[in-house]
Amino acid sequence: MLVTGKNISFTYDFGGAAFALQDVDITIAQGEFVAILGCNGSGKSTLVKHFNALLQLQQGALKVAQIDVGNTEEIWLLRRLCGMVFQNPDNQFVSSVVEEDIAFGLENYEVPRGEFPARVRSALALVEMDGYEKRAPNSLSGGQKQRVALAGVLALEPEIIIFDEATAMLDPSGRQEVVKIMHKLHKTGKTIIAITHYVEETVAADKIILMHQGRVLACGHPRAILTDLDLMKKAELIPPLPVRLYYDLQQAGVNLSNCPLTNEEFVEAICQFRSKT
Amino acid sequence: MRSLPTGQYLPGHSFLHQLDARVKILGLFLLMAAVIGASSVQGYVLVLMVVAICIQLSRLPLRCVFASVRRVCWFLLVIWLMNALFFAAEDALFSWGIFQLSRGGMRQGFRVVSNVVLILLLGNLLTMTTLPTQVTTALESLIKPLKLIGVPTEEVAMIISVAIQFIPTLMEEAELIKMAQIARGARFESKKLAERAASFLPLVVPIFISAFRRAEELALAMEARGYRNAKNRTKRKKEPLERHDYGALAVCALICLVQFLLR
Amino acid sequence: MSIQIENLSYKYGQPAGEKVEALQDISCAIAAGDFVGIMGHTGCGKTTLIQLLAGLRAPTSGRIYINGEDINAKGYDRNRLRQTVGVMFQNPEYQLFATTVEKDVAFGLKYSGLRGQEVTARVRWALETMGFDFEKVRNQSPLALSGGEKRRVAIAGVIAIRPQILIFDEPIAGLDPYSRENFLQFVTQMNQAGTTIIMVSHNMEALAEYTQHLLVLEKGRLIDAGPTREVFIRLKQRKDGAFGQTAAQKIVTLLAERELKLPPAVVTYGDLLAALKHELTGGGRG
Repeated sequence: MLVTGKNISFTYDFGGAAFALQDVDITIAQGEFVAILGCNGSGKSTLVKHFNALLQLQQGALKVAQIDVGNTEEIWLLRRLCGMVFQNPDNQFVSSVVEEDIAFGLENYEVPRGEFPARVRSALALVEMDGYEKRAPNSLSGGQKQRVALAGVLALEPEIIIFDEATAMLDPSGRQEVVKIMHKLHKTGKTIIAITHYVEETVAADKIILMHQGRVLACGHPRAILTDLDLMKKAELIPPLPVRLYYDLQQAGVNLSNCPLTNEEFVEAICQFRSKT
Repeated sequence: MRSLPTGQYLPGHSFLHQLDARVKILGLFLLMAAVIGASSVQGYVLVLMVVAICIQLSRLPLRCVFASVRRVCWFLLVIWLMNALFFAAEDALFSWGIFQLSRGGMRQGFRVVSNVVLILLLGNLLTMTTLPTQVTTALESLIKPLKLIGVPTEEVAMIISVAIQFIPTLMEEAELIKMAQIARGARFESKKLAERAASFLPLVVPIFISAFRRAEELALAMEARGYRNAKNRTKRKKEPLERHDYGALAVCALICLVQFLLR
Repeated sequence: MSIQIENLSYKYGQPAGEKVEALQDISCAIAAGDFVGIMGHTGCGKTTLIQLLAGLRAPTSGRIYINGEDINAKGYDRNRLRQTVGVMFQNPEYQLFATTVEKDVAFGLKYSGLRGQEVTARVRWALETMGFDFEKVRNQSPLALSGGEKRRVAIAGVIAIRPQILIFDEPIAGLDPYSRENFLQFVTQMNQAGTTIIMVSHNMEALAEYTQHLLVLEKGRLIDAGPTREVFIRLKQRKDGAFGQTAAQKIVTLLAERELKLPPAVVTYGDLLAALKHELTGGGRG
């Protein structure tokens, strides 16, 4: 297991009663694509900030890539192995030149300067932005900015990549760009943890961790979670379109064989229904 | 995208473009001193010629070089008026209450305005022929000696570099906030001074908060990428100065010297 | 409050001298009480159009008439424009600045002609419409509120003016599903009470579900305008697929590939559900 956490609790409100996280258990296997799903305020972002020790563990135990997150000596190694892309594309850049920004991480780990050009180039290739070395991050579109930020993380060759609502501030095409790269990276063996409140982005995940008001409501395969109307309601989320259609059609007397998750599955189910009648 | 008040970088291959950024910054300070130190007619002619030659050496279109001067022309007029009307001189042309128009005042006004214009032009020439990253690298280099008196120069250099990167973003945001507040009735362009002053807060408070918020998020992002302090990082490579760099620096120093001799 | 736009253009200059045409020759009309959506890719000029409609920028050429009056004409009372048109830009929570919620919401009423008790009553109305307990929240610092609360205070600040035209720039971007629905319901209520609503969004489902008319911008030009459903049908028929389809339309396309043809007028979830029910429960059995 790459990530194992038990009884993690956290509060921003010292002395108060408002807990951002309450008794969270979490396990993530190597190579998994995990979606952490929940509405705003559910604690998703607070949880993942523990993985790379951006937040100090207050209660509970957490081990990421065999490193105990409370071990202050190993923090730098931890942050290299566990990279993070943040929500706001603009607030991640330190330089006005793409190649310099990507090199920022390399400088932090005292990588010899001679290696920079090759590593920057391969990072940009991974995010499909070859040739953008000399551009200014400010001049790029939202999706491109996030990809450059991702390249900055990939240059350090992490094992785990966390996307903390990385698509929330993007327009639909930007979101598509980033999600496509997420899946591409997953196929190369990286462990991907994607925080989101967009239900559609979680359909293709290996596992969904559903959170609400600081607690884990459920953890399981997308099919088990997204087709459970009561669960979705408790989490204050709206299920994917095919799921809603399935249940609404059921109420009208049209019973499809399985609850579909994707558009393709829905269409397949409709055709099956028609061929039966 | 808004251009900065100190002219944005325009690519080129002129002599100024190729000069090392450290020389340009030092040269700027030396020439600024020369401008401020001008007190005689010969002194002014000298600096005027120097600035004209620099503009020539940059091969930049005049329209662009003077753009920022044009933008502040009203401010310059106010400066001239303030000097012309409030300068306590014996040869007053006429007075009215606290206002005193005098020849000495007008001359002082001209002096101040021309100093401002010349310095603006020189500053423009620097920023228009030098990439922001070159400027920050040069600054990092130049402030290293301050380490001896305990200034954390690497951290300062990082701060400057990051801050410069944020300027366009913050300016865009400032523009949007300004519009949002105008839409709510703020009067930034009002003729009444009191109204304009009151409109200050709805603009400044949100921008400050925004800047702090961004700083917080950026600090987190920097930490997530392994930043711990400015020391344990791969060092920048050192670019040696060339002959023309030393030459240019020597010329600036000479001009400054001549200026002080002319006083 | 009807809006008429005639040959509107907006150009601005870049530092190196070249001019960018943000908007080119836009002409359209928006009827009083309408709920209009504006759609287009990033950079198409949506935000510029809004800024012009709100009188925050002056057009390079062309005219904007609100209720028959040219808002850029000499002598048009700017103050009246501020009271007539309310604008909410993206991330409105970032524009809060006052020491108390009450003062921030009252900011827009400074030049409204209202005084004393009237102002307090208006502020109370605005905050209560946004779901706040007025007495509890009035003296709190706006900056101490949560993100969602901040946004609602910002909206309260805009509606306190009781504008007859409300313009929103990407109001639901980044909101989670329930917050999205709440906002859209609220806007619909305002519309039903008579306010003309103009909403810029790239959320096609929201536009399809809630707007009555749609304006589509591409690279500064108005390439389509009309009743929402008809515009979406036309956009779907474009060969280049530049504007994509609503979720419902996507399913219709997939079904058509499997020989199940639903009517092309299916644009929203409701349309799709109704069409499927009709098709599968004997209504269309054949």
